[in-house]
Formats: sequence, structure tokens, C-alpha cells
Amino acid sequence: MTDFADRHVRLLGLISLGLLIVAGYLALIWSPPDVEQHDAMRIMYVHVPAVWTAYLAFFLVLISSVMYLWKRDPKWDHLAAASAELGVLFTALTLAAGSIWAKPIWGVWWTWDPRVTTTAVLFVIYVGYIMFRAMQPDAAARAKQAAVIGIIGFIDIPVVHMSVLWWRSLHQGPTLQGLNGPTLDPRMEIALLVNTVAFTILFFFLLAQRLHLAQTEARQEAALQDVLSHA
Amino acid sequence: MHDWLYVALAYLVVWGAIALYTWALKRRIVQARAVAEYAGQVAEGSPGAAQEGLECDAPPAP
Repeated sequence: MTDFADRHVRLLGLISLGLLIVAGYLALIWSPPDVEQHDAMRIMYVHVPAVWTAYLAFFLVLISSVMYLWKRDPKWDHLAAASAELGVLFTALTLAAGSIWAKPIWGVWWTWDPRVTTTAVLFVIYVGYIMFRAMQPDAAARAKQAAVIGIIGFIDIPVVHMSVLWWRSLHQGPTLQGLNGPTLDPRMEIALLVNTVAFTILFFFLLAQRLHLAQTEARQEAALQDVLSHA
Repeated sequence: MHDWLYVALAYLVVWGAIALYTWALKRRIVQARAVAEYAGQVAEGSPGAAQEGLECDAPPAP
């Protein structure tokens, strides 16, 4: 990574840290408790941004995978790998925060609710994507086959999102959408929006770092191939 | 009070996991740079490269 990129990535990291602190204040102190869920509802301010960030990450995997299959440029494969890892992280956080929220609200840590189950399937799909990449030693074959998996895996995203509308679900429906507009208190909306922006900037900071790692490891792989071929 | 315990647990898990991942990622980058540089030196036949060792937490990510 050049000094130019490094400085800007570091700035992005500082901005995301500052914004996360503000977002935390809004979520934990400034926003009001919910009428029904009381203070347990504050978990929404990390749960919803986490799932949004996971969707963003997997959408990037989809775009990168398509671009790789079209252009066969390794940089798209590196971007897909980096995004997938972050997507798995944020999906895991979605499930964890959701589980902790479920205990005081639904009375259970886990249920085979459609939204919860399809999100768990999403997690397994992309863990499988990462495991597949680890097992395939040939870089070109790995990139091509992972791209196909990355495109097919994205099919679960609309299933996750629509599950609360298609099937009977304990999970609440869309928070900000509806014929009558948003259903949240305006202060809750602001806190949720700021947290979502904070998580998004954090995602791009981590993506830049993880992408740099992917590119460094590609150089490493090429250098090791060179050593082995001359051995 | 009961609700705040769950809120605290959720925030600890989420922010803690993000902090841990960020720290681990930074460490992986430093180690990957060292390995790439070392491999480059070995490929070029640099005399000093064979004498030094490298310590890594894990094999390269896929």
C-alpha cells in the first residue's frame, strides 16, 4: 500500500472510530427506550447495522465475482475474498446480537424462525466459500470457482430479507419501510441512521486493510512459486 | 436493570469482536509483508535471507 493510500485509510479508521463513539452515545444514552421492548431495544442499533453491512459485503462479493469472470483480473478476486471474510464477520455479529436480543424479548436464545434460519444459512454459505478457497491450491482455479460460489450464494440475501413477509415469523417486519412510512420515533431513526453510517465507514476501513492483505499474500504466493520452480 | 445486562452483553460481543478482528488483521498484514519480502529475497538469491527465520500466527488466508 502506498503512503498516500495508507494515510487515507488511517484517516478513514479515525473517522469510523469517532463516528462509532458518537453512534454509541446516541444508541445507549440519547435515544429513548421502546414502549414495549424498553431498553432491550437498544440492541437494534448494532444488530440492524451489522446485517446491513453483511448485505453490503456480500453484494460486493457478487459484483467482484461477476467482474472476475468477465475480466479475469486478479484484483477482483482479491476484493471478493476480502469482502466475503468481512461479510462472514458481520453475519456472525448479526446472529450473536440477534440471539442476545431474542432472550429478553422472545424468551429464547434461538428459534427456527424463518429470518433467523435463513441468516444462519447465509453464514454457512459464506463460511463454505472461505473454506473452499483454503482448499484450492491453484490460484486461477480458486478464483474462478470461488466466483461461481460467490454469485450463487448471493441468492440467499433476498430470501433472508423477504422471509418476514413470505412466511409466518416471530421477527419484526421492515423497520423503516411501510405504506405509512417509518414506524420509529424520530430520535430512534437518527440513532439508527448514525450507527448504520458508522458501521458502513468501519466496513470500508476494514475492507481496505483486508484487501491490502489479500494483495500482499498474492505477491507472497507468486514469490514462493518462483522459489519452488527454481529449487 | 435486567434489560441493561443484555444490552451490555450485546455491545461487548459486537464491539469486542470488531476490535479483536481489527487487531488480528493488523497482525496478519505485518506478518504477510514480512513473508512476502523474505520470499522475494530468497527468490532473488539474497545471501542474508536464508539465515533469518520468520514467525507467523497462521498460514496465509485463502
